[in-house]
Amino acid sequence: MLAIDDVHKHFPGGVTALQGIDLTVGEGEIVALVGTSGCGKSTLLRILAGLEQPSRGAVRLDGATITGPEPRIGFVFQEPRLMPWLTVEANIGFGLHDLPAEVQHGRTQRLLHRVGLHGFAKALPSELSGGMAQRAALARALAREPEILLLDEPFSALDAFTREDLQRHLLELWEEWRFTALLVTHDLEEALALAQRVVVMRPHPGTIHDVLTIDLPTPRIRTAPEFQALKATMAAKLKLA
Amino acid sequence: MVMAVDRLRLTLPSARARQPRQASLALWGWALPLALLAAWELTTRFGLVAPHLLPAPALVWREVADLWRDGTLFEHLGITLWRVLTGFALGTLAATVLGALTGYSTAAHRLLDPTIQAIKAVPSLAWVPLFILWLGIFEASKVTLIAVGAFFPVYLNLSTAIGQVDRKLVEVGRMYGFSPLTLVRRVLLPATLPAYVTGLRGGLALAWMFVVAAELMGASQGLGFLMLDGQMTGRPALIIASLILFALMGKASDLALARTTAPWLRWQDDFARMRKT
Repeated sequence: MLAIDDVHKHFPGGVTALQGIDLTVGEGEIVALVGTSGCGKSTLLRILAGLEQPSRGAVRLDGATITGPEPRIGFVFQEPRLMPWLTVEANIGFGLHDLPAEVQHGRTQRLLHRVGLHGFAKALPSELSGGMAQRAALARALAREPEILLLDEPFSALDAFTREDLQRHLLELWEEWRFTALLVTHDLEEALALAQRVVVMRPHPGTIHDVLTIDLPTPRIRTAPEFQALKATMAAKLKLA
Repeated sequence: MVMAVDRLRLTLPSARARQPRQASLALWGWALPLALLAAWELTTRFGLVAPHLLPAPALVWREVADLWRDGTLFEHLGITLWRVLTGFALGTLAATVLGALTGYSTAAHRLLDPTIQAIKAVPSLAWVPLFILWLGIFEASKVTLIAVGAFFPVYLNLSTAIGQVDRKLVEVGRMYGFSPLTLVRRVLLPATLPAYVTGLRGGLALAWMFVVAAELMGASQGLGFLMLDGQMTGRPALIIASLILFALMGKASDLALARTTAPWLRWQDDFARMRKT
């Protein structure tokens, strides 16, 4: 269980990015964080990743405070951030350097197949399309078999078709592994299509405005009236900010 | 649609013709040296310049042939090449360690970089008297001088480039809990390879520059010695022959370095690669 307890974040220069954030995320849950830019959602995700420290409060994973990056937590960035000098295969195995060679090989090969990149094992990142590169980045994060996967607007740079394809793909992977996922997005449809709960944040300073439980049946039909109604509700909550 | 088909037909044969065309393009590099050689030959043939200033190409060639025949050519070339490569290797080694250190650590940068920059400001030839005093007139002082010359381009390129590595890639390494050494080895050094290779090539060029200075300051063998010998004994052909040998050796060693390092840089998705295709 991931517990965010009264987290504040002040940046030097007087900007308060986050103020009094409380949130608990259960095992295997998918939670989406939505909000306009400047609401601190990405900062919150970076604190969860251990890449930044909260100014006040703490984040706990099964009771232990997170003070820095740890292997139980995986991160998918907005950009693929693949190492341009490594092949796709080597990029997927990039975080496995401390594991035995045969484990590295086994996991890399399985994930290559799982994300449909086995035909591109020896390709360089510059030879991949945006969607393929982001799938490789997803595979790299999953290769460590994290309990928690943090995703920072992972599909926002992709075209609409590729984005939906990758969202579907992420759900398939989640069905298989049941990791806990926190997804930052500004795409309300993405939040509604993937998450069981949506956290609506507001800026200046970043606070949690509302937490919505989405109990639409899966797989979710984007054109369904209930889906569109929820999207309108959420949009209204965001515009109030 | 018609246009697209046309374009397709146009690109197919040219793609097939790429290999021979590349080879013929490489020959263009010979155009200027050959033109200079022709101009040189004509200048001497029509007596435009006095022969004791500019001897004919055939005379220069004869000097080289004589050296070849009495077996000393390869001794001179060999000792010069040995000095260059040894000095270059030592300078590069020191530059790589110090460059990685100052590039990675702010503390090391604050501590070491000002001193290194100050040493860089000393004109390199000004080291000669001190090195001779400390290390004698034989190989040690020469190799040290060359190492000093090769050091700075490698150090500066590496140290600067590490500071400029994309923060986003470094963060990926942090996310996987890399130790500082792992981060240097798996992210920072590979990312800086292009700049590092530029530094290596600059360092090698300076090593060739410094070997002349080292050999002019007292040697009984080597290309620089030949040059000095030509000056002392009034043989301009020997001076010019040494110059040409320097140019050939320098170019050949740079080409070898470029070829050796090319596989490290194959991933670069840049303009140079675009020009090739």
